[in-house]
Amino acid sequence: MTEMHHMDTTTQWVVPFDGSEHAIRALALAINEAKERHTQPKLLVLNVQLPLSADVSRFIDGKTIDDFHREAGEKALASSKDLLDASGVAHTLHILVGPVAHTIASFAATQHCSMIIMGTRGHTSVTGLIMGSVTTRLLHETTLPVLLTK
Amino acid sequence: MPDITSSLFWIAVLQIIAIDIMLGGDNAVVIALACRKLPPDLRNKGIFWGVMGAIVLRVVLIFFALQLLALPYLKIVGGLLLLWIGVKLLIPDDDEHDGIDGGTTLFAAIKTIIVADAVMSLDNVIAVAGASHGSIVLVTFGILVSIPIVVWGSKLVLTLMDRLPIVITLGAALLGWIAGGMLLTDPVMPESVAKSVPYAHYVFAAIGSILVVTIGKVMASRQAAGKPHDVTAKSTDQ
Repeated sequence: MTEMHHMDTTTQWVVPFDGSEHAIRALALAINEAKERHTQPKLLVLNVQLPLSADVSRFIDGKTIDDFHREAGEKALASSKDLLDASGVAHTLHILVGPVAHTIASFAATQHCSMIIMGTRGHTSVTGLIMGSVTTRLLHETTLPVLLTK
Repeated sequence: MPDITSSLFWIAVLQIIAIDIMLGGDNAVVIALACRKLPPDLRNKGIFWGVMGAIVLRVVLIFFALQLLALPYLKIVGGLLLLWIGVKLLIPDDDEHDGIDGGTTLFAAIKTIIVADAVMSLDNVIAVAGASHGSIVLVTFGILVSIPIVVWGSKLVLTLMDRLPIVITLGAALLGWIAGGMLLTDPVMPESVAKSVPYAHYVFAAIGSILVVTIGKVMASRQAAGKPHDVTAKSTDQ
């Protein structure tokens, strides 16, 4: 994690990214929005990996587990690279392990970001009721504005 | 041969599938991680023997569990253990265990897998033995269902639990339900207990469920939510 944020006055936006098409569309939108701004914000592209249970960490050393998460995170973030590099927008890539909604919210807060831009799966109301809860829970956990794309 | 037209049979089947989903996913992760450091040509061998070992161990353990549960007092012990397993399901684990080093030899990897399998299958085995009421057909079914979950299920289970945390609560309640039933059916439990309370089985099972969920939730609320853990490689953090 960068320790620079307190001296960093540029605006920062979090873009949660899981490698899905929804995430790619959200990232494309974030890039366009960033280019529109007078002072370009920096994009913090965040991949969240789900934690394994304590039963696993009892038998496997922490470094192996971290490597496993990092590898999966880098794989998910790979499809963001071309888009980001071509855009010229300032950005960093991050991989965090934790419950998805809580992790996005707390990362955005500790990094002093001003907005979260993310894709939703665009479920209908019924499946959304069951599966769309990452977005719903994020809205409960963060005080920041959240821009959702479909 | 159990009556497959009875609803009780199918309820037990559903219970066993639910138990396998709740308590079966970790083995696959341990197998994959224990084999990570192996050279690629040995990795598949390690995974294969790890999965085989996990299945054989489960069969052996469940066979012993069924024999043991017929003895006096052991259903009470099993029921109490199961109550605790249910409570544990609800408490987020924050403590960093420092696991044994994965090792780079096939032997070390298989050893890790077998030890982990033995420990992690135990809760599954007790729960399945409790839900099957001693029926060997149901036990066999439980093992067959748990195999694909052991092999492929972990990612799915983790995602499900993150999206729908209520699944964990329901799973814990189910374990409490089975535990309550086990306590009542122990041979040392006087028959007068079951007869003096109307619907005694349901009452005991419901008390088990409520107990597990209440204790679990209280203990979980005392524990702060775990902090997200940063694993970003230095090189990607430009």
